[in-house]
Amino acid sequence: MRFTQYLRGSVVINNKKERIGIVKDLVVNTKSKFPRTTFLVVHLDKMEFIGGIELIEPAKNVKMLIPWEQVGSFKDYKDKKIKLKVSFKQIETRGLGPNELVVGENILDQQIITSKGIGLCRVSDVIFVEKNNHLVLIGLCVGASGLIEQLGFEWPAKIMSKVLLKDYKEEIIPWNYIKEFLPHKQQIMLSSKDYSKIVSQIISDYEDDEAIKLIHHKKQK
Amino acid sequence: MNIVRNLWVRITTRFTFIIPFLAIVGPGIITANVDNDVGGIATYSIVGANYGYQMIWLLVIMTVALAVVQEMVARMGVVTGKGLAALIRENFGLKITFYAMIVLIVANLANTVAEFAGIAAGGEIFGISKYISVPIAAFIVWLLVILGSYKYVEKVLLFFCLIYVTYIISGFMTHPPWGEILKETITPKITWNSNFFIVAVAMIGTTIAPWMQFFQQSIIAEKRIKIRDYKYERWDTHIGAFLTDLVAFFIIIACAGTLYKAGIKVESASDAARALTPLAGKYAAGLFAIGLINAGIMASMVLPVTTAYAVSEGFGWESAIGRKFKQAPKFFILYTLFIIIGASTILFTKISLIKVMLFSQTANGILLPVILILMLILCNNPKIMGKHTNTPTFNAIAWITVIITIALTILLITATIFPNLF
Repeated sequence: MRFTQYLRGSVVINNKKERIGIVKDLVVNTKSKFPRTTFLVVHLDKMEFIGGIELIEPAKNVKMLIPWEQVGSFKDYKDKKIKLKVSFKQIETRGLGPNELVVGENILDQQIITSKGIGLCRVSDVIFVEKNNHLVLIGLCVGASGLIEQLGFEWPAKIMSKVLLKDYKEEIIPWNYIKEFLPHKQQIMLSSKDYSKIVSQIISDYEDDEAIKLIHHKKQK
Repeated sequence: MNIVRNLWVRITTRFTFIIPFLAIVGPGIITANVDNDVGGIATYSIVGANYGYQMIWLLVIMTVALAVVQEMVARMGVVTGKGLAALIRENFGLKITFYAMIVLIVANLANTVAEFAGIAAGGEIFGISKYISVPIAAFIVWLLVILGSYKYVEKVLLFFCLIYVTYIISGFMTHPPWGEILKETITPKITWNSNFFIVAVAMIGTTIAPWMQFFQQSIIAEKRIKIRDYKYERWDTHIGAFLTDLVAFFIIIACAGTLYKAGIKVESASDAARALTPLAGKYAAGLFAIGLINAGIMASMVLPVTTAYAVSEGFGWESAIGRKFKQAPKFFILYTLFIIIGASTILFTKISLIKVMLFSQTANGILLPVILILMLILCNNPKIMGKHTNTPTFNAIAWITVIITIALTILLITATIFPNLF
């Protein structure tokens, strides 16, 4: 599932099916081979409790990190809904760790460079798959499709592709080809200097996901 | 002995400033000088021919506004080592970047067409057909960027900046009344009619244009100017703002001292050059036309480069004049396309230059407020600028400058789209 299409902007509901806010961002831990989500960054409608203590007056315009262990299910992600296991009062938040990255802030729109420092493109979307009740970051979308979806140009693009008999390009860089994050430069370095060889490769660990089917499809073509 | 020692210390202190300054100088002076492009020269010619010395005082305000705006981009370029389009994409996302790039492409393309039109008009004053002057100019500017390194291109552009001295000489050749000019410069005078305001706004609109912010920051990033050298870059920017308006000052003087006195109205810079011949002599008119061709050549190189930089940065492609074609193919293809379209439009179509310039003015006017506000937000973000964010005093000056510029730009667009409204 795509970060900008299905995750960012999703409504977050508590265990009593009450809306508490919307997803602003996701935090992933980059320590493992494929990063796993560790937090939801939620823009709260109102904040009534801090650490279980009720506030005199609810705070507004507050963003909160909700640990992933407290996320119940996101099977309704296509309807843009994420359900928590707990009530708002029970949420126990904590700070970010050293290997944690905020997807929208540190990955999306960042420049991708080769191992030789040549600029290639920017990240137009981030692709996740669901595994063991976690979201796993499998690749970075860098082709036209991510741009078209973010800009909301799907239907003009479909018409154009029918008229021109040409499909717009889906290009994904698998996460395992990311060598280094350069946060001070807001750049992501690839482990390869040849970009064309690594785009749209199969990530065998996650073959059942729709994103991977897409990659397979591309390869078969 | 003490006097000699003090003198020596003074000289060496200045010398230690001048050497690194000469190494850094370029982005500010080049950007500001290219601002006096064909459209700019036309505007200042019209101001001089139609209003005499009456609007010269505006140049003082414009110089300050230009210095304030360009200093911010210079600082952002030095601190982040990135172009403005890259910062916009990374901090404001794809949508804003995409629409800003579309408007920038449209505005710069229209401007590029106008620059080639200026080269054609300037050439025709010397009896050279546009079918010779335009392709030669297009080929030279294309080759300079494709084959040259950044340092080489910068040196060539700095040399072109020197040619602007032709306007200063032609201004002197009209024997200006300095006393009257000084009085007009320090005493603001407003004529309460709509034309005066529209010309005044057009004058400001031509001085602060969006391409300038993108270009200066990108070349600072390419030149890799370090924070420790920022003071020199600030001088470069301020001197550039002063020099560009000094040239504008002499264009106005040249036209005011001759065309205005003779009651001749002009609509373009080439009209002004032609009209100057019987009034100021063929040498003054010739220098004016040389200046026009030079402005066209400089801007027809810089505007396509700016577009290539901005679009490439926005989409993350490699962008640098110093790279080889293989390393930054999209950057060089964009640059080449812009030159081909700009030159071909002048050679093979009968497009109305005035309409092109009005179109570019409107596109610039739409983009400028957005860019200025984004710049101020970026410049005040400590995550991006560290300790180099705007100081409260500078912020106050910057916001006042930006708000006034935005208000005047909106007025200019309204006057351009609805000419009968005022």
